[in-house]
Amino acid sequence: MLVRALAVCLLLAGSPAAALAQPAPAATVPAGLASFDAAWQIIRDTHFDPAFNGVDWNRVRDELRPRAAVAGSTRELRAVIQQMLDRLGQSHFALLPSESVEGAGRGGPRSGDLSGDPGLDVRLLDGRVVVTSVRPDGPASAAGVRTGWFVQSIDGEAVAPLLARLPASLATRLRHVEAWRTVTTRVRGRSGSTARVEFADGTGRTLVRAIVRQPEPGDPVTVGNLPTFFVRVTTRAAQAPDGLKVGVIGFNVWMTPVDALVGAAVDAWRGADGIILDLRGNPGGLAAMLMGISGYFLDEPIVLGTMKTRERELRFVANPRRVNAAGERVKPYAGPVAILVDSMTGSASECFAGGMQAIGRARVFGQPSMGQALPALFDRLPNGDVLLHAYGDFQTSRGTRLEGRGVVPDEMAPLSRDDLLAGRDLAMSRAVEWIRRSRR
Amino acid sequence: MRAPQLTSRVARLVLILLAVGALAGAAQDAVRQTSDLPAARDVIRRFVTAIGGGDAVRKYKSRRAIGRFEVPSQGLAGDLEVLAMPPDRQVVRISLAGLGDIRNGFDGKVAWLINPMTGPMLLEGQARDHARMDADFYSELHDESRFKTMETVARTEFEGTPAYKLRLVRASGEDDIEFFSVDTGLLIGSIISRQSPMGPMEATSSYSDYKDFGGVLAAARMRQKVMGVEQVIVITRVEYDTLDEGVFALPPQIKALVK
Repeated sequence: MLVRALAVCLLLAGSPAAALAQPAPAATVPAGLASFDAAWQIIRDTHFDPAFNGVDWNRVRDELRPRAAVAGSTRELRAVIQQMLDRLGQSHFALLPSESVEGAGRGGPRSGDLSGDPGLDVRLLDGRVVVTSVRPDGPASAAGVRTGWFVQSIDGEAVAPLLARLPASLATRLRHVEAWRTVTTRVRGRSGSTARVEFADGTGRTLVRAIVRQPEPGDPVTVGNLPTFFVRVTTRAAQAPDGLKVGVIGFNVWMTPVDALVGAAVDAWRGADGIILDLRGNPGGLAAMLMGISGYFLDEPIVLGTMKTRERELRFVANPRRVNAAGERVKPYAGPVAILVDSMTGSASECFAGGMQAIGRARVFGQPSMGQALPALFDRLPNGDVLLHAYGDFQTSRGTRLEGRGVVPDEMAPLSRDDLLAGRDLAMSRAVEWIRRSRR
Repeated sequence: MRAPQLTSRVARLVLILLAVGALAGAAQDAVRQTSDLPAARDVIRRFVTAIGGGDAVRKYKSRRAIGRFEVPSQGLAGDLEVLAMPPDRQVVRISLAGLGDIRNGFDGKVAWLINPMTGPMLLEGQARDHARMDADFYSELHDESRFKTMETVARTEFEGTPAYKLRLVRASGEDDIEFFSVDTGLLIGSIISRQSPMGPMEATSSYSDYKDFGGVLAAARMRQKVMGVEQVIVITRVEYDTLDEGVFALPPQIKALVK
C-alpha cells in the first residue's frame, strides 16, 4: 500500500520533470516494443476508469503497436507511446525519458541538461509570456530583470512563433501550461551557462540581459522513479494595514521535507490574525501529504476529498496536528486561512486547495488552477523510460472533480502587467483584505 | 499477524501504514471442519510443527528483524526493522530514501503511527485493537482465542502450488484467507483486507524463501500486491533476546498526543 498510500500524485505536464525531455539516443527497438507493450498493459490494468475515458484501448494498441515495432529510434518510439497516452485525453499520462529522470536537477555537463535555474518565473498573459517573479538572490535579479517584462526571445529564438505553434484547439488552462513549459525549457539550461534573453520592459523598450544560470536552490529530494526536486519553503509577514499580523507560507512542491518546515512556520504564525498559503506555481507532489498539511489548520479528522480508483474509493482525511516539532501539545491554527493559486498550481496543490475550499476551511484567491489533478504512479519501463500514469480520480468532499476544471478561486485576481510592473500582488492584497474583514 | 510473521508484520504496516482493522477480543472455540478436507486446526498445527514447533517459537523473549523493503516498479527501496517483545509490544520502521522513516508501534497500551507524509497520530478504537493483535509476539501459533471461526474451505492452488485454503474469521467478523502448502505445510499466501487511514485496502501476499532463524523457520521473502502494485519484503537477519524494553517507549511526539 505504501506506494498507493503515498499516492504519488506528481504533476505531469507543466512540471520541471516533464520539462526535461531531451534529444534521445539511438533506439534498441526490441526493448522499445517491450516498453510499448508494458505501457499499454500498465494502463489497461490500472486506469481508474475501466472504460478508459471512452477510448477503445485494445484498438489503440492494434493501431499503434505496428508503428512502435518499426520505430527507427528511441525518439520515434517515444512519440508513438506518447501518442498512445494522448488518446486518453487526460492529465498525468506521460512518458519521462530515462535521461531526464536520471539527470533531473542533478547538474553536470550533460547535453540538454536543464538543471541550471535562471531565478525567474513566467506566465502567459494576453498571448505573451511575462515575468511574474524574480528571485531576489537569483541570477535574473543580478542581471536586472524585473517583473512585468515580456520575454521576447531566448538565445536568439523568438518566443511568439513558438507560442503560435501551440494547437489552436488547446484549452485555455492547458495553453497556460504549455506556454510556461515552452519558455521554461529554453530559459533553463546547464548550470553555469548563460542565457541571452530579450525582454520588453514597461515602456516597450527592448532589453537584452545575460543570465548566468545557477544550480537550483533548495534541498534536493528524489523519491523512487521521480526526478529530483528541490524543496523550498518560504515564510514571511504579509504587508498588512492597521497592525494586522498575517503570515505567508509558500512551498514549491509536495515532498516530505516540506511538512516539518510548514509546521515550524505555522508555529511561528500561531498568534497571527491570518495565514496565507501561497501555492502559486506549485505543481504538486505526494498527494498523501495533504492529509498532514491540512491538519495544521483543522482540529478534526475531516475528509478533504476522495480518490476513486478502479477497485475502491480512498479518502484523504486530515490528521489534526496537535503536537509540534518540539513535542509540545498545540492546537491546530484556527484563524482565517487563505490559499493563493494560479495557472501553474497543479495536482496535489489543487487537491489541497480544492479540498480546503470545499469544506469551508480556506478561501481561495488568484486565477484558476491547472485542472490536472489525477493521482499517479511512475513505473519504469523496460527501456528505462518512466511511465507517468494516473490510477485515481480526485473529487472534493462536495463531489467536484478537479481534473479538467481546476480550482476556481472564491475571489479572482487576474494577472495584470501593470500590477507586475508596479510590484503589486493583487491576489495577496485581496487575501490580506479578506483576513482583515474576517477579524473585525 | 501470523505465520511468516517477520515479513507479514511489515506487510501489515505497508498495507495500511498501520491503520485500522477490526476485531477484538474474546474467543470462542469455533474451529470448523469441512468433510473431506483437513480441519483448519490440523492445518495450523502442521504449520506450527513445520516452522519448528510451538516450544521453539515460545522460547524467545524478544526479537529484532532487519531487512529490505522495495517497490520495484516505482524504484522505491529502503531498510526495515521490526522490534518485538511479548506479549504484544512492537515497533516497525521502514526508512525510504526521499520519504524518510515510517514508524509505527504498540507498547501494550498505545498504538501509534508516525508517517513523514501525514505526521504523528494515535491509532484509536478498532485501529488500536488491531494494532494490539498484530503485535502478538506468538502470532504464528494462531491462538484460537483470537478467532471466531477457522475453516478449511478448499484444496486449491496458490500461484501454482497445491494449497489448503483457510478462512479465518476474527472475533470482529473480519475474514482473513490463508493458503498453506499441501506438500510442506508452510504458509504460502494470504488475502487480507484492512482499513487504512484512507479506507479499506485489500492485499494478496505470497511467502517464500523459508529460512531457519534461530530454530524457527520463517519466510524470508514476501511479495505483496496492493491495488496492482507489487512490493517486496526481504528479511536478512534476525536477532533474539537482545532488546531492552526501552526500545518500545513512545516517541516524544506520540507522548505529547497521549497527554
